[in-house]
Amino acid sequence: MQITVLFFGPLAEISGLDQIQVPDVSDTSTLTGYLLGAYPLLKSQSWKLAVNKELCPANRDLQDGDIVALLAPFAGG
Amino acid sequence: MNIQEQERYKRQTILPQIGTEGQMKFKQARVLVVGAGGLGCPVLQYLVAAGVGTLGVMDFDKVDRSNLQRQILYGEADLGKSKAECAAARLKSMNPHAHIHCHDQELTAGNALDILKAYDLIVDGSDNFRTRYLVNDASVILVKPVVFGSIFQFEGQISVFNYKGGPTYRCLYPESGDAGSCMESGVLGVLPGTVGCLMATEVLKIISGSGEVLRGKLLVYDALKNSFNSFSFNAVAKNLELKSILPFQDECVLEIPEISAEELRDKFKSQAAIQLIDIREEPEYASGTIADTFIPMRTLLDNLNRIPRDIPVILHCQKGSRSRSAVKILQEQGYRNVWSLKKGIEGYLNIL
Repeated sequence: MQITVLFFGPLAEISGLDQIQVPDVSDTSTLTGYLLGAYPLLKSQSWKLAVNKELCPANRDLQDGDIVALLAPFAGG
Repeated sequence: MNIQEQERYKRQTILPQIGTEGQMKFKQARVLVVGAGGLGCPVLQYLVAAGVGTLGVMDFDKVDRSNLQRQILYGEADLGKSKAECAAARLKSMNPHAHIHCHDQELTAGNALDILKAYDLIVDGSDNFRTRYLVNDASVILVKPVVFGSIFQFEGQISVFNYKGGPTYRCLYPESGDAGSCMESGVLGVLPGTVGCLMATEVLKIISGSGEVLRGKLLVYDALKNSFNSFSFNAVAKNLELKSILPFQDECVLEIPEISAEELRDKFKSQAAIQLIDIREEPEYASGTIADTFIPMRTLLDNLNRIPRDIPVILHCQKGSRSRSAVKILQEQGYRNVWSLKKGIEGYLNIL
């Protein structure tokens, strides 16, 4: 099973990548744990996670091929 | 509408989705634009051109030369002058039929409700989280829709909050961004133009009641990739029931403890008990260090056993930016005596 993770805005600066593939994560909590381990700087940012273009406020099961986007607030105007 | 107005708006009124009826709605509409900067400029000029009858321009800033690359209502002659006044004058010259209200002041928890209540719709083109939450809260209390936009480098986010019972800014982002966003970040000059035009479009759709509005949707535009992604999000009931403006926890004020190069040198001289840690990456460390401990930032959490809690811990990187984030990471692990070396190893080597 493979999940695509997209990084937007300042989060792409932290990861250094626009997107990564993550194998074998069954739900969004596990994925979040994996991402914080791989990119500890994500702890210094507040961000939201969207699964297949829907923001997901609570833990949610992931399926093979799901696309998860990481979105951060920024204030520039 | 008089003859001049009919002629001016002809290309809009022949659209079946707008018509004379829609144009009359524009004329009667009262829109407040908070922030007359990168986003505010395009929003204001398109709304005034389209015939929005009453426009409020709110900004307490002065025109700076570094604004001119993207804030296209201003020119060299405006440098040092009030943005709100310059913008208002320019907008009046663009369309004499519009009423322009100039608010050369900062939006505060004290004045927000009084100012916003005179308008039907609020545009948030501000540049800081404090104002964004303030605009949100005041608009929820007064039940007014907010057209929202924000920009970062080559990217923009656009949404419509608090529209017909839809979600609010707090439903999307309950917490503000990090301290890093208080710092100046680069932005391609045309980006706020693109994002501002999308915002102005949402305003005109809301007023005329045409099309689909970005209610419960966050549109993310990436100028480098030419991509538009739209994400849906839901309302959280308590955010819609706000009765007063919530206090803002300004993360920029939560200062990261920093130590200057001179202070560090004095500590070395006095042989004070400190732990200096180089948190850069391997190739940077290999090119020379001043620390006795090397823990790359991404491995900090795996190496907490090597970081003492009983003596001051000073973290350094190359220029003093990453070490600020690293201090925050350790603070979250309960470290209370941890400092970032200001200007990093470069600053330290400079004073030697």
